[in-house]
Amino acid sequence: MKVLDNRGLEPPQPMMRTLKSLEKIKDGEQLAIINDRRPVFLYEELNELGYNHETEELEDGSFKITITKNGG
Amino acid sequence: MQSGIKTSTNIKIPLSFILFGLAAFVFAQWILFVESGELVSGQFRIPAVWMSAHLLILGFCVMIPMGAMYQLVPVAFLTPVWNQTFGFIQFFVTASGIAVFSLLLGFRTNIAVYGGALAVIGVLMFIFQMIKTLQKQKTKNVMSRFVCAALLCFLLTITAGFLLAWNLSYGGILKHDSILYSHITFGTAGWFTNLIFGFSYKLVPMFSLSHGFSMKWAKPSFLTYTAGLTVTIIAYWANRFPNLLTAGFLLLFLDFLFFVLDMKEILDKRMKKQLDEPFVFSLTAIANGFMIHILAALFVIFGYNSYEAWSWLIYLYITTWILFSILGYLYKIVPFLWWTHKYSDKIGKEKVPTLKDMMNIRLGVILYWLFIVSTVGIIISVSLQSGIMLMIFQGLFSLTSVIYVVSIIHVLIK
Repeated sequence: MKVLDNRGLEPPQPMMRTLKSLEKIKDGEQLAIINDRRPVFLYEELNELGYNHETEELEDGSFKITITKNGG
Repeated sequence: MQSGIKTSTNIKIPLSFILFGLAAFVFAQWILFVESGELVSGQFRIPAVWMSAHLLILGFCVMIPMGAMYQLVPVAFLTPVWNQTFGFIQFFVTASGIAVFSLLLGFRTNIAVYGGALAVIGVLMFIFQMIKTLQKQKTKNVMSRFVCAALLCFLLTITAGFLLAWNLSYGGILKHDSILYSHITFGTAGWFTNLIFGFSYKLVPMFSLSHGFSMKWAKPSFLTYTAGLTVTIIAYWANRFPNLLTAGFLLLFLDFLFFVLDMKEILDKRMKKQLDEPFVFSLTAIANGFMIHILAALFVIFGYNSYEAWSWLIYLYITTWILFSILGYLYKIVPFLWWTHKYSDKIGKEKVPTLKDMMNIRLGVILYWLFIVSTVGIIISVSLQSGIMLMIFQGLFSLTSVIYVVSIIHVLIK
């Protein structure tokens, strides 16, 4: 699974990088991203695209979101 | 890459500002409705209108951006707010200052300066807080420039405002009109426009999912803006050079044009084809602001000095550019704040509402149309000098404001 580290980036770069990476992977594949904050607006986009996502808080206070591309 | 930066603000700070702002908004509209008889004859310089204008401008149009900045600055600049406890104290000082000042303007104008002093202290505390916060930003960008300029203009606006309040209480300071025009220009074109410009460079790409845009007009826009504002203010004070005012307004128009060009490019390069309605409302506010800048430039070029026309142009600038921008973005910001506060810990563990579930967008669209219809109605009523029509349309605007505020409060019980 590809891991994208979005920490330290100014918005909307984390969101744009994530959506672009999701375009490149195949249906059924997963992408993990690490963000400084919970990506509230990204969740909206993922919900609209119909992609599943899970969030876990990491020890340093950042968040890891695992996204599954469900084929839209 | 650096590790997780804790840059989030305690939600109670931005929410306190927003709730105060919403209450002030409803009161301001209610006063305008009651006083619509005076307005139809172009009477703006009366205590009740001063009270309403300052509730609307200080209570709503200043408090909401302050609250939004507490939330957005840490996120956009990747730097935490300097001191959150200071933020709460700043809220209480500013809120009491604005409430007391507005009421005194309406009922005891001769001692309004005391309320004004408290409001000024609150604003100075805010500027201090933001300067301390921005100092910690590692890499400065175009947005920091616009925001810093906005803060400087804010300082000049309240300085001029305080001198005006002093004159109403004690008199003695000459050039009252020059101070008044500087106060209005620094406040509207300086603080608000700069601030909306700065944040638009972040928010418009974020809400339209745009990438690969150049922002090539940002620097020219900033430079012409600074030049335009400086020349316009000098023109108010140096009456012997009437061409200066024309030059100033043309520069301010150019500044807005450059900003519009950048926003157009951002939107042309967006990934999200169907933009959501509250955001579209904020975008139409940009078109309104641009139209008013064109009109203002034409007024000065052709030497059109009608006091009523200028008063209504300022009204339209505040309503259709500044207020409409805020009304659009609030429908995005409040659900975001509340969702983060209430549900962000629960996502993935249990079923939580989406951001869209938090807001009744269909009602929002109706309200936005009602705001537009009532504003157009107000302008037509004034052109026709019809008191009854003005009362109806101002009544519609006030009613829409109340429903809008209720719809926002409704989010907080979800």
